[in-house]
Amino acid sequence: MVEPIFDYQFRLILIGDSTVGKSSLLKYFTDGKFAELSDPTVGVDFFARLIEVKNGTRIKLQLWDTAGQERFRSITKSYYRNSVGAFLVYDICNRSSFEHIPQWMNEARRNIEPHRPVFALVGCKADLVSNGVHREVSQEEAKAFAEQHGIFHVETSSKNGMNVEEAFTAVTQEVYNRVQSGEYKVEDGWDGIKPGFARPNGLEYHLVEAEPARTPCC
Amino acid sequence: METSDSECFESADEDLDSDHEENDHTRGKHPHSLNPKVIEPELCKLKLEENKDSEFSEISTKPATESSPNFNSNKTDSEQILILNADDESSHNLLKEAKTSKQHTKEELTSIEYNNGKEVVLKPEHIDHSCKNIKDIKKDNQCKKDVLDSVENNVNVPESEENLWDDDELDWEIEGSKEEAQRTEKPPNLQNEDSGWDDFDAEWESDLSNSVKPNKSNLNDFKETLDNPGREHEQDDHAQSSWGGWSNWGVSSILNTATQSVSTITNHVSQGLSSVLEGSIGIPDPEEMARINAIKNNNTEAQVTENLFGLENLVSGVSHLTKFVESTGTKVITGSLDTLEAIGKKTVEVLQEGDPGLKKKRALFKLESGKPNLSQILREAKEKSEEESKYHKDNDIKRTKNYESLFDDYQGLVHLEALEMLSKVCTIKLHNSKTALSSTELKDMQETLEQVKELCELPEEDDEDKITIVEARDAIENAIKEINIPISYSKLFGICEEANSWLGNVNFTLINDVELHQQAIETLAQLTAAAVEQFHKTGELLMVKEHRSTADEADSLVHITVTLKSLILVEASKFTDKLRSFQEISKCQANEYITNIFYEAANSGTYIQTAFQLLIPVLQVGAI
Repeated sequence: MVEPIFDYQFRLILIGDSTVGKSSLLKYFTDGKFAELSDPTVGVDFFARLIEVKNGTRIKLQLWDTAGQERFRSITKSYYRNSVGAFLVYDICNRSSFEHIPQWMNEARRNIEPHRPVFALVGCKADLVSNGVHREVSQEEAKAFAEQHGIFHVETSSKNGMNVEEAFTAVTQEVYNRVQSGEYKVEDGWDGIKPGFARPNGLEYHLVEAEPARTPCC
Repeated sequence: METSDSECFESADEDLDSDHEENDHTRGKHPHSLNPKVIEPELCKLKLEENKDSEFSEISTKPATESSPNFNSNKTDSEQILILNADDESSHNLLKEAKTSKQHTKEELTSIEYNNGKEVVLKPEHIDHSCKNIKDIKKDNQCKKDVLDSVENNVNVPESEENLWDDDELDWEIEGSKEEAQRTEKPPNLQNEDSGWDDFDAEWESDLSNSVKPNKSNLNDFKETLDNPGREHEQDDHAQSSWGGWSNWGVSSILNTATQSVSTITNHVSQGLSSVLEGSIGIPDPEEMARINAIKNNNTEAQVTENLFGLENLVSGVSHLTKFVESTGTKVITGSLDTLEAIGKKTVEVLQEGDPGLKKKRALFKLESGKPNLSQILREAKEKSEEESKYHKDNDIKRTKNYESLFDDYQGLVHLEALEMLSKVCTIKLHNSKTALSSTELKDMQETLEQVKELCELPEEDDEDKITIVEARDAIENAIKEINIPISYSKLFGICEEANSWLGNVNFTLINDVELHQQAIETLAQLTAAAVEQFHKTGELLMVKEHRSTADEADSLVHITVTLKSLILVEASKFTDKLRSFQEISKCQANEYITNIFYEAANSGTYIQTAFQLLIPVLQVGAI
């Protein structure tokens, strides 16, 4: 459960092939646990966690864990739009999951437009490599792709927690920086960034002022 | 500090931005309700939380911490730059807010001033400990306070800054010991008029030099320096009282401006001096100071009266300085007030143009622009109730959460939102396929859509049949077979069972009606979130289902919806029954809670029904 006191809510989406470890990554990030077995995600699932950026601002991350399965592709597309950040997730022991990354990236770009999300390239299952499983995607290769697109890259393990925190912190910080710089704004009709309730600020105020004009009716 | 007098004043004129100007205003106000006995920052903080509009006080909490070093410390580390930026921005934001919510702020003012009063106590006492003139400053500030109060009617903007500043101080006090320590170490630097000052924020420095300059020649001599604040304030006292007389003759408008400038400038002076005093005298750490103060308070008054007489003789010597400061100050004041007004106006403009514009934007994103969507309303309700709950928030007792927040915590809201997205996608799909049709085909399609809608009509509610959990489970399992998608309500029934066992084991001696009510609300929110989640999953799975059979799907969903609604009611009444029996034992007023539980249960029913109705377009897409 998330404490209600936060300054912003960022909506981040995880995309990537089926079974690369999106749900496990989120489970570890929000729960600190690793599940040996988990059912494939249906459509989309949700996770939430509170995180603090460098200046102490509290951010609630609303994490959209999309299904990687092909059959849900048309549905998950409709969930992209309101995201401010997108994690491109691949399995470092699965070559094709990495090769699909450009497609995932394009799909996210297309669907999130006109907004421009913060991307991060996240390799999963790093623990397998140290246990002797053959690595199919080299770190250099992934890094090169990330640098080419100017995005953050990290290899993680949801089993031992390696770099899990870092991956989310980096994206959150980057989104927050862009909020600070004015590149991202709280916009009505777009849920990528929403103001918190407990400690409103200038941006929040804009919303609060504008809302009363609309009478809620039901 | 090495610059000449005139240079300093020039830079003050240019650099003093509204922030500092207004801070100075506030300084003057502080001693309004002096109560030298209260020093504890914690108490101030508590008082702050009592402010009627807690939202506003919360606003300032953050900037407060960040901005405090700006005013009070000589820190040079790079962090400070960051901090300063943040401070500028947040105060800017606050400024905007204040302009647009004058009334808002006004309401708060009383309590904030109260806090200010408390807070400032500490400041004069520092000086007091340095054995000088506290009484004079207090008295003087009290006068200025009165003047400011009258000015306030004309100048609303500064209030926001006051608020900010107030919080700065509060937080600063809390972190006090550290800062104190730092400042205590500084005196040698100050004496040399050296590096210590260089570290100040540029604006602040000019501000400071502005006020301290008059005494500069005497800075080596601490005794002299210490005497100055008293003299300055004496002078202002005189000025103000005589102006008070003039305003009776009807020149109040001119005098208003003049009074403003005088009080502001005096504040500059006193602020600057107190900084010098605090910085240079080598004050002890706060605890020690508090202890000393406690003792001192008793004999302060006598001492001060004595000082007063001695000081009056020196007044004339300072008067020309005060005059100079006055004239410079008027310029500064007028300039910054204009700036504030401009900012305020701009803000109002932006807000006003935002409102109608937002409605249009909203319409763009929605097919049915007239119809507000449920998650939006829920979110608003949640915000509203969170605002409200802040008034009642008590720190010690486990914070009670309202239904909407809990519903959100259990991801009910976001599932509903996602379901809305799917519903919209399907509606668009339907809409698009209509455009390609001939009129007869269109008519057929319309009929089909109508039929689906009819299939989805829920039967009249029947309050009579009280469903058991077992019956509900059977009903839902059958319905799932019919709809033929892998959804599961085991999570929901798990919640039911948990609630029941909680109720079975509840010990009236250990819990009270508040907890019982909270548990009920939590259970309802959790159940509803689980139900909405399954409706969302149903939507997703139906959309990817290969062989659709709309009639079965509709029938199944109707059953599920009806079952869930009555299950919610049953769960709710289990809690209300418990509350009733609890009421008999403890004779408490549980009726309000009982009503509220039924109210939220009805809400739950509405959400479930809405979720179901959002699925209709999904079913319709399957039918054509």
